[in-house]
Amino acid sequence: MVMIYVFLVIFGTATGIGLAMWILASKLEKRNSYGDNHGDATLYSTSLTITDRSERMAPKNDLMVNYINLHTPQKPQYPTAPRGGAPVGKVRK
Amino acid sequence: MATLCRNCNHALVYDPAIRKMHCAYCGSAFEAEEVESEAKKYRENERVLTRGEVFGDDEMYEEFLEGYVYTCSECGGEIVLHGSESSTKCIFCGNPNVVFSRMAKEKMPDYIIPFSITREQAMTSIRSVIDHAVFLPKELKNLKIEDVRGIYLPYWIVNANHEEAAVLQVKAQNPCMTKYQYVGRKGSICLQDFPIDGCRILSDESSTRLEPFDLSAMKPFDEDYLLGFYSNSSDITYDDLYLAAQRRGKEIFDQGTKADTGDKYAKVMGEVHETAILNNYKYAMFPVWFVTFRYNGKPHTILVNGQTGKVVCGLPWNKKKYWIMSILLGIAIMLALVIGLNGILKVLQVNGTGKESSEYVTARIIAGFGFGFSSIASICALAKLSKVKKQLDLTQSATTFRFVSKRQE
Repeated sequence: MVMIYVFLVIFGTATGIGLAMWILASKLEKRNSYGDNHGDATLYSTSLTITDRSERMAPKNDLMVNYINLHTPQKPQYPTAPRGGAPVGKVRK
Repeated sequence: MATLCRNCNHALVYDPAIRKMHCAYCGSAFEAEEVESEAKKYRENERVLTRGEVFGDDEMYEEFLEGYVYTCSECGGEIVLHGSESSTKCIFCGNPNVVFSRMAKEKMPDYIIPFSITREQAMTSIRSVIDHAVFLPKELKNLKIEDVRGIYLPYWIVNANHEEAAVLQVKAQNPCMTKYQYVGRKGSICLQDFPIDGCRILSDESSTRLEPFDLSAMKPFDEDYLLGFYSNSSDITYDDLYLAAQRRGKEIFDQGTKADTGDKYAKVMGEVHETAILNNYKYAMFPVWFVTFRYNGKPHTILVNGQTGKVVCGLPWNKKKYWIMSILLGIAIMLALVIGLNGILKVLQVNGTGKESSEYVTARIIAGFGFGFSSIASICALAKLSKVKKQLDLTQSATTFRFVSKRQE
């Protein structure tokens, strides 16, 4: 019975301090830290369209490479912003 | 460089409270589109001297000499602007000045979101944040907020397409057979009117945390909105813009595919992507309030979104106080648990399960649960503390502090 009480106290101490740390850390996170960077997807009407799903693939490396090779996105055919240099705003006429 | 009141000829400033150009001397108010500075036309072609040309080149003062010298149109005093700054206040007469030549010739924005949060509102928001903070050091509780600067930051509004194919390792639905399974996902993301920070000095992480900005409130750019505020021109390259769009596209794809597989901790084993920014990107300026102070010798900068009032900061906390409180609260929880479990054990004993071998089993179960609970709670607590620390590190960024405080007041 003594052993049970010893373990009970150890359990209580460890859990108590762990829980106390968690409770106070949550309070600290809520009250001392402002501003997050989550929710990009919902902020500016960005939408993800999944065009292909492949389930239960074999965990072999060559099959993964094969999937990626098969689904490599094509280079865009429409005009895109140039690379290099600095983007400029409009110049007043 | 200042836009003058047509009634009394004093400098106008943009007042976010009334959302108009306001003259502090005669009280007149004008819409930004109504006022047109005479000086603007002449000063667009003004030749600007570098600080080296004015004060002489000296390698010793290389850092000090980095900047350009303009003349205040109100008092004739010299105004020094660094790298990409495009509006400031004269240190001699305090009048607002916009560098029209720089705005017109180099990087003229297409749009602007004018400040709609006043300096006082920003200070009230920060005061409320400070009042609600826990374990805050005493010195900060009585902090006098004085160094408040309104700065327009450059943003590029892009339309981009991001395509990606990835193989993910997810937890198996039937863990008896195998622990993990591999799935493939291909998808595309359309970033429409997506703002990307165009200021190299302010970290992407800080600027992203300031979002969202309501782009429907954007107005065609007019220099007069800058009067009374500081502003910076964009100093990033196309490559920076491309990398930022790619990073945001990848983040959204990762979040989306992980949600689609039903395992938010899925691991990306391999991926290939293609990001393209369309040619129709726009250049805009967004309002931000910066509040700087020093604590314990470390610089701190609190940011407030000048349109929505969103506060971005991590406040320091007294670590000693936190740990003492954790131990005291821990002891209280421990006592509650021991008394509660002791009662349960006594009930079990009355029911006749008090054999010695079963005592060992009970002790083992208690030890197992104790170890499990305390480990999970401690890991969660440490993860939360590390998040708060990260936010505090961003607030303590010396680069952001210098970016704000080098402006002449």
